[in-house]
Amino acid sequence: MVTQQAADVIRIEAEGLLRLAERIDESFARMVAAICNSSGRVVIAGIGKSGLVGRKIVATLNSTGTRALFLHPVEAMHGDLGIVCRDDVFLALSNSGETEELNMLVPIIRDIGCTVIALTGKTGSTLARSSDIVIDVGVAREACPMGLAPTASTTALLAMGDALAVVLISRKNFKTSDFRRFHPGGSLGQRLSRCVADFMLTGGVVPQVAPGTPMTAAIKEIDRCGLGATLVVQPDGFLAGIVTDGDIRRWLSRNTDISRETAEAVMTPHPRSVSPETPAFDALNLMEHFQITVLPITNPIGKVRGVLHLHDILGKGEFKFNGR
Amino acid sequence: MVAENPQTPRGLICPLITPLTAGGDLDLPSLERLLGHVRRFADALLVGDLIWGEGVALSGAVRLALLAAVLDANRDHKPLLVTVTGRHPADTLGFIRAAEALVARSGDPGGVCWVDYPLVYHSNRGLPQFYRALASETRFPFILANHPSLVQGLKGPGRLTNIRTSVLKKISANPALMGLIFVGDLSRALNYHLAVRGRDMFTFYDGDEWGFLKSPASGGVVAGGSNLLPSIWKAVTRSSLNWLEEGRRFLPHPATLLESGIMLRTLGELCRSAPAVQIKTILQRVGIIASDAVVTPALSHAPGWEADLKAFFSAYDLL
Repeated sequence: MVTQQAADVIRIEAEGLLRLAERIDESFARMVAAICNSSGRVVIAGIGKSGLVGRKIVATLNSTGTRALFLHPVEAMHGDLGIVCRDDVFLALSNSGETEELNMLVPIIRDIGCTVIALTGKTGSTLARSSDIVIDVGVAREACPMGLAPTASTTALLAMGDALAVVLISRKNFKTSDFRRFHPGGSLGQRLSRCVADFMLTGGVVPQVAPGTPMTAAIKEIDRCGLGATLVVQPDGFLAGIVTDGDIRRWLSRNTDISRETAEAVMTPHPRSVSPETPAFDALNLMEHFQITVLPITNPIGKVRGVLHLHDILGKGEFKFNGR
Repeated sequence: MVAENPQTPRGLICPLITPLTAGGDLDLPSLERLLGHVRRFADALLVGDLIWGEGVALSGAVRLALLAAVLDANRDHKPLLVTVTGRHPADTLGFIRAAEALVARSGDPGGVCWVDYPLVYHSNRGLPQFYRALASETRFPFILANHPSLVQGLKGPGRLTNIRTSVLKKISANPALMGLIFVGDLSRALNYHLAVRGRDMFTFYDGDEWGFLKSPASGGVVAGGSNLLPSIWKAVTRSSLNWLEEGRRFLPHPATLLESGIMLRTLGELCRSAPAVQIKTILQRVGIIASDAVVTPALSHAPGWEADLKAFFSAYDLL
């Protein structure tokens, strides 16, 4: 009896979801376009069970690269409304579409200039009539035998939120590496939450030559350490530049005999560098944006403290640039 | 007589200390190293400033040699602010003429502005007329500097140490005056802003780096600490002033920025009582300049200063 009843609940909710899938239409595409075209955030509001589902949708959107926040309608009316900007998209969650607190809020949100999207089970409701886009998340019946407790309707709402997040993932070209960045509990996330000092190479494994070093010796130093570059360091420890494989290639494309040159002539002077205390995430961001694989690490006045290779942050299996 | 559409720099202004040998001559190798250290990060260089560069205490020959060396090293045409204040009006004018000849000989050095602390050698009375006359002698614009404690130190107590607001209003009508380096309280700053509201392209700079760290001015900051920590000052200045620029993506993490602010504040405290002497000592200890010789009266450091300096070096791994 008990198992049968439980199975019925699941079946009712599954039926609700299947019918929801059949009803997805152009409105959903308009909702996705509104969010993609917005420079602001997705602000989600709801009361009761819808509020709880709203919080879950916010979490999913944030972890998949869409900035979102939850706004409690009552708190909004008492000052939290200040967080809403004109560029935001507002998602109002209400199965009945007649939630008084939410319906009081919507005209004010519209005044601010946000696009208002209603996710409701009643497309003729007050909320639906006052919204720019209406997404129908209605179900034929709730799983609750009395039809009172929101069950199938909240499942439908939750599924619609997941559908939105997943579509946005593909629209925004969100990658696995991005997902990992937003999950500091993961192994990569744990690495990125540390600072550069935890990963940088120091001591004898740091490739370095003096500015006057012949390039033949500088190339040997690059080979010795296997990082594809050598730092050029003044005698008093200040960073003068860096010679990378790319610098050598570029030099050879313009000239012929590199053996007569010194490191100072071939190096990139004053390369980008960070301090050992820099968060690894910031260093990775810099390296990816400027396509740097070897980053000198200096103290605040520019004295060399070490070197960081992209592999050391990401782990060799993760090495990848965001192509531009 | 001001040249076509002059523009004042914004952002981090590094007031270079003047590296000297033990004999009091300009230490060119140290200057070269110092310039190499700060040039990439500073938005403009301030040469021969009265506070940090020991300006008026230097001989005329050293001041001009300093300017010539900086002009020669300024290959990337970084805007140059040159302090021209002399001991009296004729001295100031004489230096402007000599400096302008140097600038002319150096070709196109980028934007040059004269920086003047008028109350060091002139009273408020007749200041607008004085600047009309001075501006007719040069093609470069002026940035004024208002520094009450400096004026008081040089002229003694009881003198007017601030440019009067009404005088600033009249002076600012002169298009040759392009900005003001300000040290003082917020109410005076507000009055000064109101006084020049009729002028567009009039830039206010914070002359007090502590003040900038607390409440940044809109135009920029003259930060003596940038002689030592130019990259940190650059990051703090950019994060305070240029929120709309493209590079904001690479601004430091707020926690890093907070730590940077504490670091700059600590350095500011270490260099507050005798800026030129103390920053030179620090630059010499970290190996950027060869000697900490000064022409301004050498002060013995306060008790505990050495210990504080050692702690600062240790905390930020500077040695």
